[in-house]
Amino acid sequence: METNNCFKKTPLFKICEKYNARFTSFAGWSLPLQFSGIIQEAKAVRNNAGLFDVSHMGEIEVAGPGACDFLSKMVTNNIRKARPGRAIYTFMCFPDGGTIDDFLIYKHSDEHFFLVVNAVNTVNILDYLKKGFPEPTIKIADRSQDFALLALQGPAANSIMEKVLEPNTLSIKPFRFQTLTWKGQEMVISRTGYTGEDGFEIYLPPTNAEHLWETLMEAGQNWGLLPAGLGARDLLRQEAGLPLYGQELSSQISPVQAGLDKFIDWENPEFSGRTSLLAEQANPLTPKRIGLVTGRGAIPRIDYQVYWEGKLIGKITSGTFSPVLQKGIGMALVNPVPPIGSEISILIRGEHHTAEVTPLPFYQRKR
Amino acid sequence: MVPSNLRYTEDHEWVRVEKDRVIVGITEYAQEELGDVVYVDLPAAGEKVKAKEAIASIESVKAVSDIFAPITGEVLEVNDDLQHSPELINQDPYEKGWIAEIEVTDPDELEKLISAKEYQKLIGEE
Repeated sequence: METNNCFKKTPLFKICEKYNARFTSFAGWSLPLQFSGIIQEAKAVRNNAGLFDVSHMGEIEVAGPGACDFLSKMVTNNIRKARPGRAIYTFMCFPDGGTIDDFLIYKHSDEHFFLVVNAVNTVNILDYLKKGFPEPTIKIADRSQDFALLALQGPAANSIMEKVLEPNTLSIKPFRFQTLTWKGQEMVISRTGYTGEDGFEIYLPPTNAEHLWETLMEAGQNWGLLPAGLGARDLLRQEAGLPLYGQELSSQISPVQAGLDKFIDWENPEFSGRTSLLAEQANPLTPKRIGLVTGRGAIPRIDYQVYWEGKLIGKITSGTFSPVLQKGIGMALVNPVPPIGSEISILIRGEHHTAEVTPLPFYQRKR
Repeated sequence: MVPSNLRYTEDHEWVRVEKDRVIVGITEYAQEELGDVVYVDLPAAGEKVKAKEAIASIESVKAVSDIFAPITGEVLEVNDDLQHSPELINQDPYEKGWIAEIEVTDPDELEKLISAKEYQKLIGEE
């Protein structure tokens, strides 16, 4: 077990060790890469349920009179229209359209928001928010240390959650959240996730985190709940066609390039990056994200070159083997953009391997 | 998990010497590091291979890795079961997950392989 002391540990590090996690370093943290095996964990999430420690995620609180107007200038999605109790997926962009981060905004009220951000970007986001000249009435605080975050994902997640919260009942619709008290402390439960399955993300004080983990694991026994690591999380989000910051989105890759325009509220006249994003959207030469599938012997990996009709059109941004499809799957950023169904090729260690352009996501759960 | 009757390479392959031929696979340590194997690109029987050259590649969920020939010689046989059940490498790396059988041409090369003890030291499992 390689765990370097330089890396930060989450409140669930010890319990993950107890469950035989293999650790990896990610965004300055030592996090569980896998427990029983990536494929087994991914299957558990698709068929039953999986429990993830994602406490490394950053939490930024933006509160005070004017908070809603201020954030509306900073992010791409419409947070004004959203009612309190909603979790809104959005981007924050530089003036040139490059992505600072993609994240969920939890709207408690017009004057109180939580941003749940990628760990690596927490500092950049705080900096950029401060550069946006918030009114002195608006308090912006890094609250990352105050929360552990567990993700319970899979078709059995609701049953397991209800058992744990008995006799309280849970009625949270997708992309909504609820604050409730558990073992004397507040926790926020949202019906969100990063796997393409039904499920919950649970924010709670670090002191209660181990207790909740054990309670969920015990309650989930009859439903085949398994602890799951970052390896399964990355595989599941790829099958679900979800972007990962640093790969499908970055300071060089805008949400328009990633094909995520539906999370941009063009009616908002003043958000950061709007002019550049609009120009990109109108420009037929803007590179775009595509999905592609390959045989299992030619699994796409990050940075592999992608060719169409003999010409280099771009690079793989993420790729892996999909247990659901039993094929290699990948996403790539390309220009020009071959239509769905096109035969393209990927250069894998000096050899061209055939791939087919397919719609995203690769996998969609039955509802 | 390092059988003492086998020889090893620094690239985490095991080698079972049987008279004029060797059987090659990857170690328990290597399969743990690779994680779930989903595809094995095998050499063809009859192929001539050179020591330290890539003879096969293993695709796992996480990454693709080369397998190197431990000795120079001709590939006599490959484990065809891996075509349909690549997970045998994870489940039984020293037996059912074997990869290829190679004819020995230069017995001196066998001396360059490391012992179980040395391999254990290499992976820090003394």
